[in-house]
Amino acid sequence: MTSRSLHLNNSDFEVQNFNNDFLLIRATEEGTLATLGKLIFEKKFDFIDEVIVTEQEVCLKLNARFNDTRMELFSTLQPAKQQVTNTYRLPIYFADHEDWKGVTKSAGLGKEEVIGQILTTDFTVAMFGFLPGFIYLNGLPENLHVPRKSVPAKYVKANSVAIGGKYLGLYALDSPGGWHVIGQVPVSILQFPQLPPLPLNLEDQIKCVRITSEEFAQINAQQLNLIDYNA
Amino acid sequence: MPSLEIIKPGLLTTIQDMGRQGLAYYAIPPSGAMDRNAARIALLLLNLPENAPLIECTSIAPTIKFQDAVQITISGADFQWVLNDSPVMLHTVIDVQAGDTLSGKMAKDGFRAYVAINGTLQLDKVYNSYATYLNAGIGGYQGRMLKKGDIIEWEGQEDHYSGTNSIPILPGPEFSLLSETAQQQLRDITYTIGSDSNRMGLRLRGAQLQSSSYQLEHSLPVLPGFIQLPPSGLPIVILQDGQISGGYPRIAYLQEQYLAILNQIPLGGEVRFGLV
Repeated sequence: MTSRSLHLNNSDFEVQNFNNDFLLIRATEEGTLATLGKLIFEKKFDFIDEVIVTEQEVCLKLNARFNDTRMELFSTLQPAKQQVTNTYRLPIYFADHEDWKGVTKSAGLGKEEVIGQILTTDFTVAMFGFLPGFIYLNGLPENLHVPRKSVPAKYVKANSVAIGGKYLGLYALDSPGGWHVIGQVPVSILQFPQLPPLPLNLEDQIKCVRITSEEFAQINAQQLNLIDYNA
Repeated sequence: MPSLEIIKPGLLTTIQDMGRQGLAYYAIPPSGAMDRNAARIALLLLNLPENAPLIECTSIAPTIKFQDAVQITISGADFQWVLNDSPVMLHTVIDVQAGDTLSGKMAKDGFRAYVAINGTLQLDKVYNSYATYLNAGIGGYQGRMLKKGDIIEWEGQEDHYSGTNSIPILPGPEFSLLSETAQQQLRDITYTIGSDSNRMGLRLRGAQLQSSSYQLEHSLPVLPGFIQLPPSGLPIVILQDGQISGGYPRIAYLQEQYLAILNQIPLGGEVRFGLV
């Protein structure tokens, strides 16, 4: 692994090269990394096969066309104009789930108090990742940061809301998962086969709304997506 | 280092690969295999990268003596190949023993054939390609066609079709979180493929690895081939349907071409990893 620094659009980045297999890019200041990742993705460089953007790191999977001098092409990237952010309500039925035990124990609070804190928090879309439609939300109060499970659960139901470390997350698909499930959402956020496959953008605001099991069934039966629900 | 020797060169025998692209601007032609499909078949049968170098034969077969044992494949036109005196088939993995001689006659049903060797040929790339460009005298073996007495060396490839499935791994972004013991363990460690594995990931059974942390503060990028270490201390290898981010330390990774070997090991089978 070799490291170098990169100066782009008045921001500094650190780039680690893992044997020309992949690059990891980190920003030295907050808020600049996602923009860089998006610019690289949209530029469709021929020496990059995949771009993964997370809050702290951008990962670029390289192919045989890559060599170190190609990185200088990043300096041709021009910053895009600022995006508009939207606010969405996310309806959650806080069903009883075995994972609640771990959450209340770690937080030292009862279930109702945890729910209360979540409902009064303004969440921000921090990143997309894991599997299609999975959303990482920033804003979780620190006392609700619950470490991920030691052994990931083999099955988490689609549209589960869960806590993992500092994030509140939404599983859009059935999948294995290491996060603690606290509720269910009756709307789907995926819109296959559109690209992007979900209607949210980074920095969009999310407000959690509590619904009852009856409301859950009702909304679920209408087969709404997140946009319809918020319309 | 293992090697082969050209006893008779044939009509026009050169080292080629998929060629060099994008240099026509400088009046440099692509060169490369004249029948790319045939070349790819020979390489892929040995699970070699598609851009690996191999021997291209034209019209009349060369005679090649192998000083060392190795697996080879032959594709393209039928040159009526024999290994010592026994006929050998196209498109199969051939076990060559040390001292064996490969020879053939005139090409039948075609004009060109490819001989791939299961190793990393010790040749240098020119403009990012092994292809021989005869007019300019660049690439391949000293920029020219092979002739009597030429020696081509290679570095051995693990034999993945028999015995233990050995796969090289490289340190991942969070390798340094591992205890010194765990870092040593990874130099040569054998795991069993857990029955709870699927297309997303392989769960490995065997020695638990010690790490100073099993949780990262943030979810970070992962690619197929990345090896994560959850708190159980038993590594998980991300596969083709795997997640693209995760919060477990990424202790190591294996390069893309080795996924094919790993993915052929049945549940309950053993895999041996060696850190390089």
